[in-house]
Amino acid sequence: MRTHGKRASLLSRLGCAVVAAAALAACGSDRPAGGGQLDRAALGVTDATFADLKKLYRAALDEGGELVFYGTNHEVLAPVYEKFEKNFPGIKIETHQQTGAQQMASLQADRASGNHVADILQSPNALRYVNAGFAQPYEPPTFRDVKGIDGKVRDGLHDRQFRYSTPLFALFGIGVNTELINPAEVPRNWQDFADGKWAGKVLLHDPTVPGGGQGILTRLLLSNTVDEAWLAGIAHNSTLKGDYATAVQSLVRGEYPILLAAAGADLERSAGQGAPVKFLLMDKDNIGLADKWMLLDGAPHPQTAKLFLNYLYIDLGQQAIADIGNLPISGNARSPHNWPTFTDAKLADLPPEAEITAQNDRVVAILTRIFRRGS
Amino acid sequence: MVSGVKNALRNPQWSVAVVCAVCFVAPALMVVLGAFKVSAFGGDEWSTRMAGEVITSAQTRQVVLQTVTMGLAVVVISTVLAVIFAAIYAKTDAPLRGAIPVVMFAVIATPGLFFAISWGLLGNQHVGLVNTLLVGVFGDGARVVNTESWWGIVLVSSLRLVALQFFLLLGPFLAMDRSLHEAARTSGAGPLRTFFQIEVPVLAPAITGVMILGFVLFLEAFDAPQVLGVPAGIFVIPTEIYAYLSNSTGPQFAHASSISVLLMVVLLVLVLVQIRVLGRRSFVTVGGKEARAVRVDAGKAKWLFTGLILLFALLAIALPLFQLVLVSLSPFLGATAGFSLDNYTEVLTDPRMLSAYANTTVVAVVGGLLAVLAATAFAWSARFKAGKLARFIEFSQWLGLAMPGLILALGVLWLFLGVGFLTVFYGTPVIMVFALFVATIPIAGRATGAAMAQIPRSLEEAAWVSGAGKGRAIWDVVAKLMLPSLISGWVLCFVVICGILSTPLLLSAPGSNYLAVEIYSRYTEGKAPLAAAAALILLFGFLVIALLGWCARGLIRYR
Repeated sequence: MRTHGKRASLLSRLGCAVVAAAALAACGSDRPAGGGQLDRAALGVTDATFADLKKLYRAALDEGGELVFYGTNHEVLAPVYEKFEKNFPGIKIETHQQTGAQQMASLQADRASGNHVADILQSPNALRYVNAGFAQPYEPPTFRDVKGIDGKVRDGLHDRQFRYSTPLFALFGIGVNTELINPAEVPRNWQDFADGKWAGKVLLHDPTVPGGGQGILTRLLLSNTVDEAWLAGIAHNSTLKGDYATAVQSLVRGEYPILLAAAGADLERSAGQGAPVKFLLMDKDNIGLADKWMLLDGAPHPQTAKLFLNYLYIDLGQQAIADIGNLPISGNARSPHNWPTFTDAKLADLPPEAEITAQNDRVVAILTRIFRRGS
Repeated sequence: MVSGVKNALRNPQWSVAVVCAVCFVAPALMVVLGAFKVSAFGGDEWSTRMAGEVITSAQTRQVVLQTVTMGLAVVVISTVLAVIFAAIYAKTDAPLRGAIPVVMFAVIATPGLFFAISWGLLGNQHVGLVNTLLVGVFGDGARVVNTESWWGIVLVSSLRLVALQFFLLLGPFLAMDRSLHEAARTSGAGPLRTFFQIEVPVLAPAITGVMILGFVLFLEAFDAPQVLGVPAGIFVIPTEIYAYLSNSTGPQFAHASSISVLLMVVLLVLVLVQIRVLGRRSFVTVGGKEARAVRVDAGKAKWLFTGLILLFALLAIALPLFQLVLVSLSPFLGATAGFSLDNYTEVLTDPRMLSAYANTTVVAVVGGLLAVLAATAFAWSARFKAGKLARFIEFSQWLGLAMPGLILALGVLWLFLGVGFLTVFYGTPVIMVFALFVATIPIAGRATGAAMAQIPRSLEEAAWVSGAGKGRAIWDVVAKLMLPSLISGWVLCFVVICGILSTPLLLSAPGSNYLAVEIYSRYTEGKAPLAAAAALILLFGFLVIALLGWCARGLIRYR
């Protein structure tokens, strides 16, 4: 017992020494208490931005160095999170994979109980949560510094109060199985796929349920790229799959040669693993689903969340986004898949997000009428 | 007045009834109220509009009809198969009969989502392995299998349901008094007549119970209808609920709750039918030392039984597992080359996955044990004294099943947020264990209740007369006779809890990773091979547990 007591005493002294050393080191400009050193060169930011980030970093460590995310696609975004944790040592990200009803129920239960769990929510359907009052306004200073987007485009990436902002888009186009069809024979405009000659050759994630299929067809319709006659043609030509992963798998296995409304990141990942698939963009009217991020109202670690949101818009964060196969908004980020930048992607001219959300019910009713078979 | 209260306290049914009311009726009530709440959380506005929209919708009528006809087909097929396999295992000397529980265990342990996906791949009309084999043998015209169809859903759902029903019937089959069989044979009845005219009627409570359970489980099964039904334009109640909950402008909780209320009504009708059919007949079959199953020489039929076992193993295990293993070794879904163990390495070196395995094991062990013990207590108290209280205890447990996973989780959530002192448990493991307990107890109840129905109260009374206290009588008579059913019920609940997705998806505490959620996340994010590897590791864990249990049982018998 004595030995144990001595050891304990030694350990506690050693601990005190370490804490004292850490506290002293923290007095240095770049080494906040409890964390590591921020590397300005690695972050690739200006002095002013670095000072802002450092301040937030210190506050984040004071909050305990934890950050909790709600939303989806966390597995895909993991490299972006890891880069953040590496460059802002001492902060640990925890993710909760939730969508739709689960997500809404969790947010409402958090609010009703007063026990707020998450700091940040990431979702393409941000307005639903914004309108329900779950977001708090926050404009990341680094958002203004993003290169390569003009003012009007920039304004479309957030709402007026900055209750969300958009650091990236998921790019959707056509997936082809190169063993079944020569990519050169595949049309590069949406209209041609309604032609009867594609009957039985096209796969689509069921657009009557939320997901990629519904999101893309909704936007094609609302951008006036296609009309209801086109939808009827697609309904005739395509085979529906109940979930998106099954649709990708059917393409990869060679069940069908073409997947309409395929996410570029998924196809590039499969191709990188050796799958005989290729992702094709349209000559025009490409669809990008905006991935919106918001600081949650009542977030238990608000400063840490702000630090992360700022990280998403600096070059380091934007390049991390490009590396995982998404479309960052910065013109500085280079796609490893040779995709165009955000401004060169020839995206369809979409109405504002608020209008898309407002039109959702009407469009889904149309999609259900046209695509729901057996009813 | 005082003596009335004393009498009530002496009757343990009152305490159990209160527990049942809190555990089963309260969440169900919350769901019923949820059908009329304009705002799912907060707000005091009520309306019958949402329920009205659901009930009067032609779509709902069509979906209900589709679900009921499909459910009946599934239940008839699965129950017949489950009874056959339980009888083969418990009553015959057919070769390979010992493999039946292993096969059934593996079927239950395979996550429903992967079972559906595997069969979706195997039975694909264009590139499925089954059709490829058929075409190889019989030529191009033999491309006849298509799992993306009405019968495809029925087949896949039945194969999965057989396994659960088998385990629930196993206890009653094994506990049946052999004197019944011997008396029938002595009176000149053949083995088939003895089985159908003596043994099957005696097992009526267990069989009708698992039929109802099977029907209800199909009513809330989501995986097969979503993966196989949607491409064929076939919609059932669970996919309809999913459509309401994943509405593009936000989840319509009231509409989804309304369909769940419909499910509860269907369930109540089924339970009433069961009462009507079985009436107040006694189904006691255990008579002391004779309570051992007798195995008969099945003659030449035993080879037919062995063939059945092999065919079932092929369809329910070998083919889907082959497909699942193939996916787990693949670099991407559908790969035909580049197979490796990389996905297994990634799972086993990922701290998040490892903590998910640990958390899931603890929750499933504790939750399964709680469910079995509580179900035993409920079954015991229900027969303490016949009457309304007994019926309430018995049938309130079914309510947990009448609510599809997410709706049950919502009901529990509403309950915990609505009752002041329970709010502190929000965001803690308590709320999830509670919901899992409610979800699993009908299964535990089927495993223990039917076995208890076969133990006569006279055995307990004999113990009392001989000087044993109530506790000792329960332990020495009831618990020991029921031990095989209790253990199989616990294992069953453990496996079922490990695979439940919707409850942890909504209710798991921060920092508590849960395996079903991790697997689901990876699948939805396009990492199906990783998800398949994680699922197979879980399956392997189940098999190790089963093997250890088998060894332990052998050791006990040897001693």
